[in-house]
Amino acid sequence: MNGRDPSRPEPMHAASQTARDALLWLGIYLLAVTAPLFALLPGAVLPGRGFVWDFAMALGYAGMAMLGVQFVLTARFKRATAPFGIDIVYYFHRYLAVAALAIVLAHYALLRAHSPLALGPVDPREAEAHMTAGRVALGLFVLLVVSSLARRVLGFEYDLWRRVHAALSTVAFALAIWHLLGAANYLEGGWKQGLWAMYGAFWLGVIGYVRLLRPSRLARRPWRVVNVRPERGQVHTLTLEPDDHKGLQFAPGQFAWLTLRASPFAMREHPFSIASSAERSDRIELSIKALGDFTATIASVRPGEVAWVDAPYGNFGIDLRPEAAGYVFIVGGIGIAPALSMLRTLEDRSDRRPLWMFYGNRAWERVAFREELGRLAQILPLRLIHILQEPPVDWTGERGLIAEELFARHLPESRARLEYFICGPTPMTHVAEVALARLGVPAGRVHSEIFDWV
Amino acid sequence: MRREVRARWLAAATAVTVVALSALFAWLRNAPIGPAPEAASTTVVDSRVAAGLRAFEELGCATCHAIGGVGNRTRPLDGIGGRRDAAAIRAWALGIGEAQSRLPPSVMRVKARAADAAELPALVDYLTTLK
Repeated sequence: MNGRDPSRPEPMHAASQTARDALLWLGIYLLAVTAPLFALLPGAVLPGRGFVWDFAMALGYAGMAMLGVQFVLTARFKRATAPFGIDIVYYFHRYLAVAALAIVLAHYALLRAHSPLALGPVDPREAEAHMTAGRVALGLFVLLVVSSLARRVLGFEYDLWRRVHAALSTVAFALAIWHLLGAANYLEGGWKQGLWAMYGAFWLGVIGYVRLLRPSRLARRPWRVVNVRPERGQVHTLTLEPDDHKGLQFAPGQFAWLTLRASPFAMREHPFSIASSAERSDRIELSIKALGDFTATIASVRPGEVAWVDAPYGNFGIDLRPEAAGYVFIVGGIGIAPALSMLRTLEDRSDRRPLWMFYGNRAWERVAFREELGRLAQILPLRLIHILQEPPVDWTGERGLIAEELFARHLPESRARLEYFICGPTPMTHVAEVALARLGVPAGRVHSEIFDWV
Repeated sequence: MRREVRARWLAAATAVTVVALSALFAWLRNAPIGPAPEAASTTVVDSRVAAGLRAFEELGCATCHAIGGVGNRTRPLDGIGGRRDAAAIRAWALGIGEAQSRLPPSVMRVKARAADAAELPALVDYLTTLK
């Protein structure tokens, strides 16, 4: 495989296995959500209480289990997220939250309509404690979903939001477990109650793992900032070296969660693509553009500062398709970081396959890494096409935005056999996907990653 | 965004499956399988008890109350006949008298529906036998 050491661990799944693994994990998901429900069926002491009542109860249990799995989805378990790509898993988390909330609300609404008496008094002074716990949990879940979906509209700062989100969801989930065990429908008999108590404890254990165990593992593997280099276009490249450990094995195109100037327990991590060659595990580079509160502080980072790196993540990159006839990179702005990692890796592997790069930017002076890309184009069989929105007067290259006509002009006839990697702003990704489809490139050869998560 | 759309469909399909499985659970719980549990207890069930149990079921009492573990076990009515007389049981069943100060209006409204029910005497009669 182009000089790649076969003894090294393969951090990414081979494409053929991906679909199978994806199905497997989906099956595990459905089982995790509904199996506890069906475990309650056999030997039920009570007869059915009417379809509506039992349906409402089932929705309550299933909604609860879905909310529990939400913690696992964002726990970044590498094996479970690899076949989908972690960006998809975060989106799945977001949409499932809405679905789970709808299911839990339906649980409440059905009971309210069908048997309001069972809900008891609303006044917490008169109501049973577990019913109040259920009501409060429901309110918190609504608050969680609204504050997350409308975070930007509400101007909720990311770091603060993350911590509030984690705290609120843990409290809401614990209250919901209390409600479930207190209401105890179907839970007659110690073992069933024990089963659900264990189920709840398992989810709380996952929270403990994510918030305590994983950070403590990260804390044992510190990194040092050895260089901070300004690049064009308000980008800074951080060079990190492992502090007394072996470093990081990753695949080109993958990313890392970076924590700077905070403890790994502080939940102040931010995801960035790794820009350096995957052939070097003892030194990584992250190229970061000043776009928000955290990224604006990168320029003030000094060599010697400690950094924490949780990596590698992501299912995007050339090693996903190691047998490709050639690679095409369609890049906008800071989307260059993962593409640069792929090019640098190909250089280190002395790969001779043909490469194309479409790189869109506003102005020539702000094209990050344009000198290094020029150098790489000398060494690799790389055709580099810069596209500028505001080109200088003497510009003879491409101008405007990335468009179908541009691809048609620069890509070879055999373009349907190449593998495409798109990294850039969402509108550009969308345009590129549509254009490539119209040029006859099969959808399975077009890879993109969602950067805009929260 | 192809990937985003895929995530959305995946989530929607998952939610639909979960709801469908919940419905299946509810259906299985209410499907008539074999002889009804009541038939198993062949002890002499006098007609008073049978009528009372039917009333208990038809008036929806089991939503909030249980008798002998059947129904909502958070508010059992076992032994109620030993604690209250027929008049008090009737008043509680309809939400009048003492019940008025102890129950929320939403509960009172539902209880009031039983006022004209033909099953009410059978229910009260039966409950007084639970000592």
